[in-house]
Amino acid sequence: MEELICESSLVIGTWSLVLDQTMAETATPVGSDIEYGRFLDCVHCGLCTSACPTYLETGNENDSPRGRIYLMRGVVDGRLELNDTVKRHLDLCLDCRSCETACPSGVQYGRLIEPFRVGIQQRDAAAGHDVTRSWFHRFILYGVFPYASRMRWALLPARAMQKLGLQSLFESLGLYKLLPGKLQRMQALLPKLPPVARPLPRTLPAIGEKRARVALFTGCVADAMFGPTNWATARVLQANGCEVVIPENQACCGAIHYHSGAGDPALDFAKQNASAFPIDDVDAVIINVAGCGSMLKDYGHVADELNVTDPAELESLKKFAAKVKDVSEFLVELGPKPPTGSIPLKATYHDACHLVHAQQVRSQPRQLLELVPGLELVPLKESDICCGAAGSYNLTEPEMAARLGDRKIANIESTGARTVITGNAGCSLQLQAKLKEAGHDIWVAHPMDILDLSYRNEQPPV
Amino acid sequence: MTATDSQDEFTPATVAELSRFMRENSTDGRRSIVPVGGRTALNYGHSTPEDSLRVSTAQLQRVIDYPARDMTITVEAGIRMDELAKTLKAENQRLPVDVAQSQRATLGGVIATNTSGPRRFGHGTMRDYVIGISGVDASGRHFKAGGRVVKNVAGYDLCKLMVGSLGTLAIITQVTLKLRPTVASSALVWMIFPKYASIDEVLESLLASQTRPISVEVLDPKAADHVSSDARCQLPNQSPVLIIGFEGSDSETQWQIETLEQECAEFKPAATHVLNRKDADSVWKSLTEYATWSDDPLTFQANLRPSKAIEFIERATKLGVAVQAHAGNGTVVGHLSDEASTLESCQSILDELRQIARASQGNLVVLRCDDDWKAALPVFGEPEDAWPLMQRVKAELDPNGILSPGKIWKGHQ
Amino acid sequence: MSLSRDLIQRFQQIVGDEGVLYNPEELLVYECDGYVVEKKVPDVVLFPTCQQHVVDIVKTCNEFDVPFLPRGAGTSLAGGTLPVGGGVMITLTRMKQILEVNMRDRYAVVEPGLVNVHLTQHLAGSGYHYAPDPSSQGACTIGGNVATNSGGPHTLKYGVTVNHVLGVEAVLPDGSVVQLGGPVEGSPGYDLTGLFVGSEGTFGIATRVYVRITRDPVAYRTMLGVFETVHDATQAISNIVGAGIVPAALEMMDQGIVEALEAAFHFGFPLDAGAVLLIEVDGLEVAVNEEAQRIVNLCEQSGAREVRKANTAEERQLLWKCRKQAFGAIGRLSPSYCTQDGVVPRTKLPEILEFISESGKRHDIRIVNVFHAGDGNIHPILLFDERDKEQIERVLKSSDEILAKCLELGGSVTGEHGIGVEKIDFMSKLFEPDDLAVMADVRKAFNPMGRCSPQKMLPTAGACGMEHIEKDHPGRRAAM
Repeated sequence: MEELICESSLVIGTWSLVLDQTMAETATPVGSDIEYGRFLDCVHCGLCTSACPTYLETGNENDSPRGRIYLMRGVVDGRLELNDTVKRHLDLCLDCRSCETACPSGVQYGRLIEPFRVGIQQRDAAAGHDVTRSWFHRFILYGVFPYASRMRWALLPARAMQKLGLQSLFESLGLYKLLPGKLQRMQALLPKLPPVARPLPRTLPAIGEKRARVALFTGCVADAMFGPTNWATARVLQANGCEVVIPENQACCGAIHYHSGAGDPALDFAKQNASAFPIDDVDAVIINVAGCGSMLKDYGHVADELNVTDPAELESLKKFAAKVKDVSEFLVELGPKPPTGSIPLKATYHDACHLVHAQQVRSQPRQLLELVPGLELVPLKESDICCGAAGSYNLTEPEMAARLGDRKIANIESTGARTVITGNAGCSLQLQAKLKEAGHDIWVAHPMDILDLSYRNEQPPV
Repeated sequence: MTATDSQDEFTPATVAELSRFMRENSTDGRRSIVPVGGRTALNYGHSTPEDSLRVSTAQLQRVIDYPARDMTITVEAGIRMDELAKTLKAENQRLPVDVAQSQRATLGGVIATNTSGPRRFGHGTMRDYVIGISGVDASGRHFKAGGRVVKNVAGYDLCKLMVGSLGTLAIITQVTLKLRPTVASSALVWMIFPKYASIDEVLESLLASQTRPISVEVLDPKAADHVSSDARCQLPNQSPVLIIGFEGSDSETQWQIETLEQECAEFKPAATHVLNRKDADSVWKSLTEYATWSDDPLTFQANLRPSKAIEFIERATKLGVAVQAHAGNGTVVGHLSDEASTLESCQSILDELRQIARASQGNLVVLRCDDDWKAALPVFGEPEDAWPLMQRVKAELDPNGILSPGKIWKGHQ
Repeated sequence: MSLSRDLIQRFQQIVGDEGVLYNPEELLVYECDGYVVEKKVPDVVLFPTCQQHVVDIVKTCNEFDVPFLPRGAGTSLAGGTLPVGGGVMITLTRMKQILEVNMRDRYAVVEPGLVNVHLTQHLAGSGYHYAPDPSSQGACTIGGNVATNSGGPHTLKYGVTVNHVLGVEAVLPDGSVVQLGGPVEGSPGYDLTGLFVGSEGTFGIATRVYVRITRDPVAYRTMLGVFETVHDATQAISNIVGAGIVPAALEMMDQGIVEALEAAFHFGFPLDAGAVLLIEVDGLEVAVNEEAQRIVNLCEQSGAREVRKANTAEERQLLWKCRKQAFGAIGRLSPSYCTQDGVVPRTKLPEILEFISESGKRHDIRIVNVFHAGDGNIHPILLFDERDKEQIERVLKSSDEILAKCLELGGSVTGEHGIGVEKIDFMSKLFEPDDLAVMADVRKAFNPMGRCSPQKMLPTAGACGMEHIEKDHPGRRAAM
């Protein structure tokens, strides 16, 4: 077996200083344009390892943040060839950013893996490979998901089937098996779809004394499948004295594209959003979906990474990003008005990765839920370990997603709660699918669903 | 001082002298050597060869270094435990391990026999306090391990290896101890219960007690009678006794006594006596000395799961054994009654009790009995999984079987 | 060293294809642990999931005469899991079950790959916890803790790992299985459990660990003493310990660290203070106030500017977060750092800290300090830029000087990180040839062929037949 060690490296402190190495690849390795200091931030202490969901499952350091950084740096340093084995370990990353919370050195892991993935895509494109990898990526992920209206249309047949009770007939006859694997999984992920919600109007007035003016980001997947939650969010904001505007030309946040390495479409969405929102006229851009929220907050960095050079464009993206707030984060800063309606539920809270790790929003949703009379909030073991949803991960890495989903369901079961509350669309889909699969009748709700019921003094559906 | 020498005994004045002596012995004559300190535990283990030479640490008893403000002390191993305690007391410090016959017992001997008493529940045993050790092995090598600082992971922890080694691996010459501050007050709560079952319930409830006991002792009536008369305290002892010990500031101790009494009320003790100051001191002492009570044909120590302690005590009581249990640790000391006057009767009692201990992964060791019986008794209990490995350690350090041969494993050099 | 295809296949038969890594790109991350100064890629990495796997792997290694060593989470700061000479790395991260928790008998049985904090999390709400809490407890494994006898901030009062391990079931270097100690205290014979703990993987591979679980304290009082100078702070430590008080934790941070923490977390620390002490007492509600007040008095007598108290659980958590994140914040001061793990008698703290400061000046290296003051366990952090070769040399000189001074003051060169490969040169300074010879004999009883974790702990090769490994040892000096 070949030894890989660089014999002539001077080694000390945090890393080896390569004095005389022969580069494995003559072309510039993928990731070379990532600021090298970001790799150096990692002192290899390993404290991130057990915060990483995939490492918890496999115990293989190549599937840990420290390991992935090592792999990426190995490629950049020319010590490793970016082959399928290396890619496999990088692909398995959920991009949940749990490691960033655990890291004492403040390594910006997301700022390493995301541009690196973009780099892989660009290399593949340059080599004439199909960038979007498959019909699935091209058509479903890029063609349907990001567009709220297309999503609504796409869901129509499913909605009709659910209404007619055909879904269980299909299931029992095994007809879904005729669909390609990824579509089967998408079908399995579909929750019991709510009736199509009325679209939100362009503005909603504050109730009582006006305390703020906010713009609501309604997303794409979320808008089609979580219309009622968007309404609930808007009403909770109104109840807290916020005038809510809902800009018409807003687009997908671009996270799905960016996280799977497609930089250009992601940037197009970002630019569209930055111009769609009346950023100077609102106190905040409110988002109720963790995954989109962290992407929106990252527009500035994304622009840097994708080498946006136009200063005005850069400025507008950064300004937009600075105004983005998760709804619970915003409400706690504003000072929430205590709701009064009793919601007699035993519930537990699952931390969406892109809320707790990417945005460091941990206590705020809990603080809001603790204001709700009658709600018993019990702690969830490993509440901040990814449920396996991770954006489109459950579609692209079904095996690991299923393992993490099962782990999450087992933890939920052990709480005895009948309701799981979480602030992210992807988590919500994953939890509903896994709970259904395990035969549980547990309600998956958004914090705003609960608060809205309490403000309106209505009872939960369960 | 110079070494004293006789046919049967050698008392080195310095470690260098000891080392030289051992080196010479290992090449010339290879006489078997039995290290002795205060001679309070010569009975432990199997008999050693009759022509063994005793090497005494009596003259190795200096205090080498006592940086009191570091809360450590380095002393020679022959120091008497009373003497050590007096030195420490002067600085309001202590080694919180109970030692019987402390006016005679030496530190080296206490380490070699891994002696402990009631306070082991709250304070642990010698392995928790020895942070540095020096010794001379069978070939005269003067070695050390550990050091003089309270936290140290350099090298193998031979301190642990020496604790309980019964003079079979080396002669301990010098020890560094981690110390604890003395406490303002200590007290004992002596409770009697009509049934062992009630005590078992209290023991279970103690796991969630708001108090933090330092000792948890259970005595059968016979042992209770002995302890109370030895301590010259008139204490009820007609039924099983549970004794809980506390230490701390005055208010801490007082609060714990009151809290314990409240917590125990539901288990309906037949009587509760709180022992403070002098009374507490004398009962602590009697509890410590209990193992050395020598009016019996045989004394044993069993180790078992704390949850099995009451079952064991009940059975032992029925067999006429007087028992004291450090119930929180599952360590039980028993004295067989005079009625068990023959080897056969002792064997049958021990066999039965050993089975109870074995059933919970424990064992039973004979601490003291007639030398003639030892050949027929499993003095160190039933073989443990790790014994072959232990014998390899012994063989590596003492390949010629010079130090206390056969003491732990009969027939094994 | 190169392993034959035959051997790889044997391993695949034991642990399955998914339990074997042999592609060079997947082995690379295993070339070092938390100590990155020396590197060596193992020839193969294996993931056993049960004791029998470990037995079969070890027996196979013996059959093929290849060295092997265990690895947990790879958080060693001393190169404890560096596969000197290559060979087989047995990674225990898939053996992480909690096999039993017995409240009545106050013990738990766990597999070695269990993450330390996962045990305490599992016990949450029961009134018990697992006491040893190394700063890396969120990632490090109990098996690794056993190997290095890990410490942590709360070991001042509660003791280190060895004080909480009742027994170990281990696969010995010849592939046999032995149980040392167990759920019951005081098994007759030698305390091989105590000996095994801290043996840095040279005695075999623990596959089961019996640990003591400890009652949770009822109450805490956490304080922050603010001092004008490092000297005053160390004097206060010395006075607190000297007064016979045993706090649950007593940690010191100097101005450099406070500055970095303040920049990172805005805790409201006084930036002009020379040093701060984080002091915690715990115990019964009735006792903690009294003890806390004595500490406040002693701090004030030692010249404290003020002693702040954490009034709420949140404030306490904040203070601890700050302490535990301290190392991470160093990134704000310097691109690279190296930390040492010396120990001195507690009364010598003022002296060693003065020496550290002088040493820093002498070699023109900035040194900051954050450490377990109550134990006398110092962690001077030497800041440098790894791209400056000459600076690295000065850092190494200063490090060696500081450790030598620790020895001179009656201390040790490692309090909790272990010898690993990093400190192996110091063993012959700390110990005489006879001491090392006795230790080598003890190792021979466990590991006669020296195949298990060769070149660790003792500055001599594992045993006859393992000399080839020595030649392969990368070595810190060689790296220079």
